[in-house]
Amino acid sequence: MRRKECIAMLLAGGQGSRLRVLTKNLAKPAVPFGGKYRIIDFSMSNCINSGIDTVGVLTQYKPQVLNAYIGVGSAWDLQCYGRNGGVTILPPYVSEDGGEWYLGTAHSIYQNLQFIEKYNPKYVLIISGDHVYKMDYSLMLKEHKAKNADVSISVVEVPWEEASRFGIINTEKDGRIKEFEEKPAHPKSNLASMGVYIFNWPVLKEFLEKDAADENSANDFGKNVIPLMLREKQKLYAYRFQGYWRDVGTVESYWEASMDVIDNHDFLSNFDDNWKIYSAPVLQPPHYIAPGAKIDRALISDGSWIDGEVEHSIIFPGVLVGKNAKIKDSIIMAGAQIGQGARIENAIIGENAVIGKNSVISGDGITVIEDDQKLKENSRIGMMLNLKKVEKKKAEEFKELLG
Amino acid sequence: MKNVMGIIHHKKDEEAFRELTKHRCVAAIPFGGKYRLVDFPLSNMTNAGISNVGIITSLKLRSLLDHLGKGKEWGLDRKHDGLFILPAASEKNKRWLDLEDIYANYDYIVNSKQEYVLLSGSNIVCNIDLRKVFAYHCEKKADLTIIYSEDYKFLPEDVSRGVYLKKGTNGRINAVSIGTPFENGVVCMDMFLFKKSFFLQLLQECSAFGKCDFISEVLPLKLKEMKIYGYAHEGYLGIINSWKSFYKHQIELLNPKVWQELFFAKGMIHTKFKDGPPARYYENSEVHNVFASPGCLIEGKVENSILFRKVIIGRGAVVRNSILMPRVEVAENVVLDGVIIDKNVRVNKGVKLISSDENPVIIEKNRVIGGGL
Repeated sequence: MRRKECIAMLLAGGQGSRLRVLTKNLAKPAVPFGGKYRIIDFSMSNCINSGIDTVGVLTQYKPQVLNAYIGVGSAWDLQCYGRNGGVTILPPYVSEDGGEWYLGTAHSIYQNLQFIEKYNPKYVLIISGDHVYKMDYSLMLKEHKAKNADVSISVVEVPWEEASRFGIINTEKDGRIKEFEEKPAHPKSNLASMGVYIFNWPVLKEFLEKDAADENSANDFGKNVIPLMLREKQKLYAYRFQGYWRDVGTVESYWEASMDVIDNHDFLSNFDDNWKIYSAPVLQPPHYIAPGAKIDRALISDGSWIDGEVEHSIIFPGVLVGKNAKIKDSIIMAGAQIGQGARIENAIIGENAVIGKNSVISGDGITVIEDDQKLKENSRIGMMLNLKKVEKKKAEEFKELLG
Repeated sequence: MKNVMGIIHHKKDEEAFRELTKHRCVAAIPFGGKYRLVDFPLSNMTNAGISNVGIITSLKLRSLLDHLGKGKEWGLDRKHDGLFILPAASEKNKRWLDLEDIYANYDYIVNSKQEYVLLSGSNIVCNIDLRKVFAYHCEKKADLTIIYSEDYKFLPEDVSRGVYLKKGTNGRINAVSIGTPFENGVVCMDMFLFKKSFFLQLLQECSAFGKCDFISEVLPLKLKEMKIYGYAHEGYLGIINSWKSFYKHQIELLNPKVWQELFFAKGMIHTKFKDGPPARYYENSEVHNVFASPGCLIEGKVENSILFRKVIIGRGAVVRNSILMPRVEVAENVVLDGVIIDKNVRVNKGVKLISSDENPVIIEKNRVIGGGL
C-alpha cells in the first residue's frame, strides 16, 4: 500500500431529523438537492477536485439509498483507484469482542482507526456530507502545514444574529484557536465552524483513544474532542473559508439554500469547469416545455414535462407539471406529478408524490409532502409555522387527505 | 438473448448529410438533445440482453470513440464479450450494406460464442423489443428475419435512398427493391436477424465470388433458397438517411406521444454520461414547445426547437423551428428560424438567419456567425 498524504473521512451517518420527512427513507447526505444532485455530491466533488483520492464514508442511519448512490464512486471518478484508495463505505461492525453502533462523530472515526492505519496518512480530513459548498481542501492543507498546526478547523463568517446557532470559534490574532463554544447564547465572534477538520494523524489517533477511554464523553468532535485538545494545549488553528457555505440540516435552511441556487447563477454553473460538482447520471431524455408553459427563473432537469407555470423553483428529473398548474418558490423532487390547476407555493414535494388536480399547497412556513404521497383532487394543505394555529377540523381534514 | 451478437454497420452514404458528416460518421451524428444516432440501435440491443456488440466504423471515428468509450453506459464494459470497434475494409465502396467490411472482421464473428447475429444500421431511430423479434425468428426456424415497417413514409427526396420489400404468404419476404417502392410493399428497416451459420456462409461467398453488397447482390438471390421472414415493427420509426430526415425526425420529437414512446416505451435509450447542471431559465425567458437539455441557459424566446447540452440563448434572442447542438451560443437579439447549427458555434449579436421549414440552413461546427460581439 502506497502511503497517502491525506485521506478524507466523510461523516454520513446522521439521521437529520430536522429535515422532517425528507429523511424518512434515507440518510441526510442522500437527500436530493439542486435539481439533480444529492447533498453528498458537494463534499465528494470537493475531495476529488482537491486531489484527495481516498474517502471513507461513515454510514449508519438508513444507508441503503446512500450506499446504492455511492456505489464504487464512479460518479466522482473514484472507481479508478482500485485497492489503493477510492471510496470505501464504513458501516458499524462487530468483531470477536462484540460491536456497537456509532455513538458519536468521534466514536465513528475511532471504530475505523484500522482503516486509516492501512493508508498511514500524514493528515486526515474530516468532513460531513450535509453541507452545500465548494471548497479546495488542498489550500486548507497548505495553510495547516505552514502554521505547523496539529488541527485546523475551517471557519466561515456568519451573520451575527445567527451566530448562536453555530459552533463558534474564538481565535488569537494569528488564527490560533482559544475557545470553541457550541451554540453560545452570547457569541464573542461570528466565525462558525464548518465541520471541516484537518488533523495530524498521530494527534487524531491519540485523542480519539483518550476520548474513547472517557466514559462521560459523548464521543463528539465539537463537544468533546476539540475542547479536550484545547485543554491539553494542542495547536489548533482556524482556517478562514471565503465563499458560499450552507448547512442544510433543517427544512428551512434546505429550502433557502435551494432558492440560493436559483438566484446565484454562478454557483451551479456550466462554466465552472475547474470545480465541477459531479453526480450520478440521470437516465432520462431532455425535458419538454409544452406550448402553454410559462417559466420564470427556474432550474429544470431531464425527463420533465412542463405544461403549467413554474416560477422561481427547482424541478428534478421526470416531473410532470399539468396544465394551468402553478408552482412558486418550491422544490419538486424526481418523478412527482402535479395535477392540472394545482397551486404550490413554498413547498417541497417528495419523490413520486402525486398532487391531485386543483389542489392548493401553501402556508406561511415550508410545507413538505412526503415521497410517494398521493393527494386527492382539491386537497388543501399548508404548513403553519405555529402548529397551534391549525384548527382541529383542519387537522382532521389533513389526516383524511393523507388517507 | 445471450445467444445473439449484435453488429451495427456503417452507413456509407455520408454525402446525404452534408456538413453534419464532415467531421464524423453517421453513427455519431447528434440527435434528440443528448444522444447520437448510434445510441438507438445500441440501446435496443443491450436492452434486449445482447452483451456482445461490434460496431463497424469509417475513418471519421474520433467522436464516435469518444462517445462510446468502453461501452459502460450500455453495460458493455465487461470481462466476457462487450463492445468491439471494427474497422471497415474500405472507405470507397458506397454499397448499401457492405459485406466486405464485415468480412474484414470475420474472426471476431467466428470467435464469438453466439449462434445468432443481429445486424442493424446505425441510423435507425426507434425503440423496439428485439426479444420479440428473436422469439419470432426461432418460432419460424428462419435463416433470416428482416424487420420492416408497414407505414413508414420517407421524405420525397429520400424515397430513392430507401430499401423496399414485398411480403408473400406466411410472412416470407418475396422481393426486394432499392429506391423504388412496391405497390402494397413495406419499408426495410435495415435490421436483420441471421442464424450465424447462414451469415458466415454469406461472408464466405462474398469473399469467394465478390458479391459484396448484401442488399443489391445477395439478398435477391437468397429469397427463394433460404427461409427469409419479415417482422413488422409497429412503433415510431425514423430512418435518418439525409440531413432533411435528420431535421424532420427531431422536430417530430416535440410531439409528446413521440418522445414518450421513443425514450421510454420498451426500455430507456442510453447515452454517454455527462455532468452538467439542470437547464436554467431566466426572468424574461419565453419557451414554448421545446425539448431542452442539461446545462442550457435560456434568457430569450424559443419555440418549436431542440436544444442540446449547454446551449445559451441570449436576452431578446428569438429561436424558432431550429436544432441547436451542444455549446451553441446565441447572442442577444439574434433571430433564428429553421436553422440547424452544429456544435460549438457562436452566433453574434443581431444576426438574423431565417429559412423555410422545408429547407433549413445548416451551420457547420466551430463557426462564428456575424461580426462584432
